[in-house]
Amino acid sequence: VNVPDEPLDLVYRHNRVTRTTHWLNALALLILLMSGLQIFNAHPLLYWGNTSEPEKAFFSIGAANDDGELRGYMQLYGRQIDTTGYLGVQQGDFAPSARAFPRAGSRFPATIRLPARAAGTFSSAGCSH
Amino acid sequence: LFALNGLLYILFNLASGHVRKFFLTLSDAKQVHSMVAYYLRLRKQSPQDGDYNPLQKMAYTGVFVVLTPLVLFSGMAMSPQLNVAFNWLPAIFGGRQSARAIHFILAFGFLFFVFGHVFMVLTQGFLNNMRSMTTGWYREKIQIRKEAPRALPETRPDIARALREEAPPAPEKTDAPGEALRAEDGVPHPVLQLRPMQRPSLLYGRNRRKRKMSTPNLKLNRRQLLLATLHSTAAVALSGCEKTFDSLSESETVQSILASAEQANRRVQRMLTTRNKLAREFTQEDISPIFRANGNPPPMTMDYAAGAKNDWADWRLDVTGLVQKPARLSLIELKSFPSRTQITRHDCVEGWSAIGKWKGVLLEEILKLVRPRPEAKYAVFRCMDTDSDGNNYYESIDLIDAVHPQTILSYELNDRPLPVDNGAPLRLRVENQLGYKHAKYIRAIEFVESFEKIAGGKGSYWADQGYEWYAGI
Repeated sequence: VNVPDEPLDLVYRHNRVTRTTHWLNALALLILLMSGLQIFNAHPLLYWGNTSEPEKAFFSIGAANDDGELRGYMQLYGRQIDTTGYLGVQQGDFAPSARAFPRAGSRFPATIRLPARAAGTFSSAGCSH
Repeated sequence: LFALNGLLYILFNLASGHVRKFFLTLSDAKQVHSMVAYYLRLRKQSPQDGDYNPLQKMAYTGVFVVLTPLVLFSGMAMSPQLNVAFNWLPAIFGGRQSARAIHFILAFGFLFFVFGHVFMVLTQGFLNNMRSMTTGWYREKIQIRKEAPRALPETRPDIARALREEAPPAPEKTDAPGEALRAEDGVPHPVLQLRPMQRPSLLYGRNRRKRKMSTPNLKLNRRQLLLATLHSTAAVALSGCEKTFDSLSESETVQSILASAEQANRRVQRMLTTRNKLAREFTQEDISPIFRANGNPPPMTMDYAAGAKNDWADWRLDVTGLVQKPARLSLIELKSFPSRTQITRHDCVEGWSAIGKWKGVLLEEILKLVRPRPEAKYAVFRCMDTDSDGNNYYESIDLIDAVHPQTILSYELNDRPLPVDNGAPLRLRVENQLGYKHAKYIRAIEFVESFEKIAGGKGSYWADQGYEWYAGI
């Protein structure tokens, strides 16, 4: 197919301010979203109201110990979806661990098996007191 | 950065009058449904009139008018110090936890917008858009001639043949895109143009006349592209970036930038808060059934066990440092001071909240007793609990927070002696800051000018681990 040899027809579409603000915005949003996910991971439950009683969370990502198998789940208004390998549980270096959003380099979906004693509750790293 | 940048963008657009082009007006709103129908291929004619179509306008307006302000306000509603400054802030979202939920849901709204935005860029000619995004120049028309045939030869011999036969007509510019588009009644959606039954000449006729709006130029199968975008977004978001992110957050430059941001944040928040303004107090009914306890397990040392005997009869609080008159107080003596009872919400840095009723002695009373010397700047709280490495917990607040009317040394929770989990015998309540500032198991208070020589030098167990010393956030 021969291409007609015509000069490029360029239209000046985005000015400098639009361009720089957009790229900065992309950077800022990326940082905000990533740090937001990290913050969410510290307590992956959402509630309505002023206080947080875990059994009243309308949304949560968690892990449950199901006969020695750590099972990741996502809960919304009491309905649970099994998300093992994607959310709630991830394959760590030695054993699977409970974690809402997976960490870098984790293989997923991952099949997960662990001894019954490793209870699947989220450890409360971070907040003391 | 996000806020400043966004403000600059909005100001610039207001100044240039560009805003009129992408803000949703009432007449646009009426056309949204027909645009949806158009995209779903139920309607042949695009209702677009101007540079942006009604759906685009709706998305942009939504992000600027709804999403951004809401995400900012719900974020601020989670700040303990701003909650003191503006009591109504969490209330408009229905409570602090509601604000948190809304904040995270809105974040996904942003993600959805970005995903859609980037998807559109990718489908509408990736390289060309990248060019205009970096240099500002967007190439028109030529790409149709070059790329349409290249993408088609094998699969669409009919079109390829037709392209060779029909030399493209000379480019004809029009400066009124809206008119050009309106004139094309009956032209199907660009995506449909590549279908075999489509007359190639029509494909030319249409694209040639378009200006400014990017030209639909699908080379990949739309479903493949959608999946590819989804996968790469997920992969980038969930894995690649986190490593960079982790190393970034550990770098010293970033740390010092964040530290100066913390200083600025503290100053601004202090400025916004009238001195001695109170954090919201709740009613008896609001009290959480279980007041969650975090952090180190209760101290199990011999000293602690010995102190706990006889209701802490032998325990003493040492108040030392840069003071005129050091003191050594028993729990009974502390209880003899004027007390304050407050039902307040405790907000943990992790995200959870609990409401409890605290009774204790105003820290200000202790200050009056020991009279800090003028050079004293901070009160350091020495605690009896340790982490698994044996590091003692400690915290510090400045003397402005120390004399706040809600800053108390509490010995009662919900009308009962302070439980061991919540910090028996004595804990700090500093209601304009996050939970980790509320030191538990206090054994001594030391007044200092600087905490550089204490433990990690950052003024608090958690600050030594990289948390903010000022937790009004």
